[in-house]
Amino acid sequence: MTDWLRESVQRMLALFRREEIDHELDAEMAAHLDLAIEENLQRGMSSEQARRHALIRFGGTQQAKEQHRAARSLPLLESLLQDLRFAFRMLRASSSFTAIAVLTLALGIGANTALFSVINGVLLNPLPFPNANRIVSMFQDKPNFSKGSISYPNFLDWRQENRSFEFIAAYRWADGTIRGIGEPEEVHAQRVSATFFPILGVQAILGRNFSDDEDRRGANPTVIMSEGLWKRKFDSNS
Amino acid sequence: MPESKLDLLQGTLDLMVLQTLVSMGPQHGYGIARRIEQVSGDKVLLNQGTIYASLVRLQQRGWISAAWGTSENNRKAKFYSITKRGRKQLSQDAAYWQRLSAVIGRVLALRVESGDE
Repeated sequence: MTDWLRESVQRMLALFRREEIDHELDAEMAAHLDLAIEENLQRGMSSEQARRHALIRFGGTQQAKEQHRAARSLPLLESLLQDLRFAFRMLRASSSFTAIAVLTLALGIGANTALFSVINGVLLNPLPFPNANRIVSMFQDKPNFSKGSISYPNFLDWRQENRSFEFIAAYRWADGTIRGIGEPEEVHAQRVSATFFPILGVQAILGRNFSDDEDRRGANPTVIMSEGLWKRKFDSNS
Repeated sequence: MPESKLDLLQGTLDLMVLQTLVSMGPQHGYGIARRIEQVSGDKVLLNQGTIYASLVRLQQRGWISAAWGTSENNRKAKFYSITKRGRKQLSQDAAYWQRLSAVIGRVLALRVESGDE
């Protein structure tokens, strides 16, 4: 098992030391042939004969190199890398073709993505609220700041002068830490106006929605929490 | 017609290389190839170049190690020597081959007896 692992790692490493190993193998094969020629000369062959005989006995240096590569490395991966390098060179050589191909792909992918985002949002995954197509978000653009928040007095004015929408609600991030059962916990919360839940068409499982009387400055703080939080943190106490 | 030379079975060359290194001590590729040719009485079909695939395989498995050195007639050559793990492997493989060839021998003998009818 360890032998197998060791061999696999060595083969992977050989992939990245290809030239170095090939170079060393060349030197080794040259030494081999030199030794063979020398022995043949000592046996009384002519220098040409000695060389020829040595080469024949060796049996093809190219073949030996191929066998060496197959034995030491991952031939499939090696040829894949070679193909990739070749493809990359070809792309670089014909740069205008590459540019057109890349542009075509980019436009195609871009158009598809844009179209799918719309279809996904509108047709496949609409907001999980009744009449979701009639709910919009409003922001106020400011210099150097698009989609900014709306001040509370502005909200009050908009709500009063509104003739375009059935209702307008405001919300604002109000994350905080709460205690209760177990460790204190950081929770995501929103401050919302009384019409917030009616607009979304969401009703309380237990208790009631915010009343208009609670939707003013100085009113008693009131909280609507998720079922999960109620169970986890307050042990379902009503 | 002269008998054709024996093709090497998968794995046999590795075994021969290990055994050669045990009997001769550190040796370069040419020396190993020549030794195998001599011992086999030139009955084995061995392109000397194939020895290098075997050597790199054995090296990767950690059964032999290699270092550049100088040959007896003062040439630079890469010398291979067997490692401790290589010796262990050799004794396992040798036992395996002996068992296998004994079995093959018995099976073949069987065939001759019953094939005479």
